[in-house]
Amino acid sequence: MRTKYSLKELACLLALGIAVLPPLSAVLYIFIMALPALSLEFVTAMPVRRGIEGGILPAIVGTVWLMFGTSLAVLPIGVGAGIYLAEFAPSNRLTRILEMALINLAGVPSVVFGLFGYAVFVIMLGFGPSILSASLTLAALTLPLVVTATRQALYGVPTSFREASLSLGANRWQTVSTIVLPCARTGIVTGTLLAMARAAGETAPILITGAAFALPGLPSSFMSRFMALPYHLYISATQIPAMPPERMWATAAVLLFLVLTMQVGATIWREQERRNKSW
Amino acid sequence: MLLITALIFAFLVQQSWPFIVEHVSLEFFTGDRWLPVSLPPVFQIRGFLVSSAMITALAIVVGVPFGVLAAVSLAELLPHGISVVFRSIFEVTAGIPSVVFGFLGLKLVAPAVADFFNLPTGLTGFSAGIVLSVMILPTLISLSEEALRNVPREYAEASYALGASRWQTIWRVVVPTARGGIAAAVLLGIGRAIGETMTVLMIAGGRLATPGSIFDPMRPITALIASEVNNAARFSVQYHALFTAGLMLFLITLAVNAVAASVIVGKKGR
Repeated sequence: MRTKYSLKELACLLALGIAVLPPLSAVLYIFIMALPALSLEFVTAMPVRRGIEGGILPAIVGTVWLMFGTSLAVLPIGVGAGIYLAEFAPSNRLTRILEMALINLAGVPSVVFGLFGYAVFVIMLGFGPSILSASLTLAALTLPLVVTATRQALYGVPTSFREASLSLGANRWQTVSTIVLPCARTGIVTGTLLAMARAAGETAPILITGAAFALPGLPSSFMSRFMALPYHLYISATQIPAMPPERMWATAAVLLFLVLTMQVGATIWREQERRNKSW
Repeated sequence: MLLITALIFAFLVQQSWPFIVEHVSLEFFTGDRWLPVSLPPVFQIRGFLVSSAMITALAIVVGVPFGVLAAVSLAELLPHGISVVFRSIFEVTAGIPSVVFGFLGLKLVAPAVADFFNLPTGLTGFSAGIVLSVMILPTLISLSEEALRNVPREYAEASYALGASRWQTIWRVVVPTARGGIAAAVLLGIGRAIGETMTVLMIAGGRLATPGSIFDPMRPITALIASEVNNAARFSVQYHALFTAGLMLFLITLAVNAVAASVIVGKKGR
């Protein structure tokens, strides 16, 4: 590619440079502002005086519960649907409708998922405001992510692998479960990691389905109410005027660190795996 | 998935039905008063719809030029290695939780906007729209870039063969050919901006009245739902009214996304 640019092309590159600036500087700025409040105590101690002193341990623990609850619920359904779409779905109208539904589901606003979870899990099924309700709500929200990742991973497995297996007398299901799925494992796992990162960062759905700002202890079961990092940040920033700013920056930094490590880790892992494959 | 989409729709309809039957009239859409706890309560949502529209429009007007030009740079101008770096930066941006964007808007953007435009408060639709424009960039860029890359190589080669420069080829041949995909990207960006909740809840200002300008504090429909649903008594009129608002939001984003999806899925079919 020629790397001498005309004026208009330079304008294009400038736009790219400007577009990339806000997110990059934002991440850096958050970590710098967080430094004064970040300490081992901040991430391992219980809050004191509604979080104005002490640490944010319950919010971290709550977010971890949510991530695991969400992945437990979303994995079987998401991977199942992904396998169906990639391996078994005939190329017909229904499949196209399913694909449209997938794109549309990914575009449903998170607050609408919150309303859905509130009506179904909190009220109708009687789970109340709890980790369970919030996890199931987040599972619905992250479903398109897992389905797409699974499908993409399965598409990446060469057709010749399937043909070889089928020619040896394996049926379609045996082929998928013993040949294709193991080859696509990394893609599915990294997709789930991305879904967990997404679940950790969402605020609007958990705001409606059971997050609390101050609780006496750590959650004891899936039926407990919970604190969570994004909700903690939201309430601190908007409703607790006495909250020292550096503690809010630190909360944002912890949340960002958690979400970004999972995300970047998953992406790097996937790329590495892709490079290592001989096919 | 179909089932979940259908279920969401079904529950929204079910939960808003009592309100739709009893209270929805033309005034629901055209009135400005939202008094959920007065006697009798009044529910009119024009203000929220106008707020959502204003903020989304600003986010698109600011975001799309940057998004498309950045996508052109990534797809056509930069060597592969550099494109990959930029692409992963935007992937990371897409992963930043919206509450973090809201917090940044609250601490940095809103004060700057108040200073710069000499406003009593920076918590306005303008601040929210600016932050949203940054948030929708990853969507805009990745889908536009894909659309540009899908333009057959021969088109560009034909253009070069006729003596066109690289910029002429990009701007007259490649971009126009990819316009369907770019339009889909813009639509998905619009859908994302309409549905974004935490950012607008934290920095749009939250005023209930219909905004007169983008520099007023305002409350878009997502923020309305998020801020009131916890306080609304279960199965009260307000509760059902909020589900009706949610149903509208669902239908609006569904319409926007369905058009985008049909462009994308339709492309693959060919």
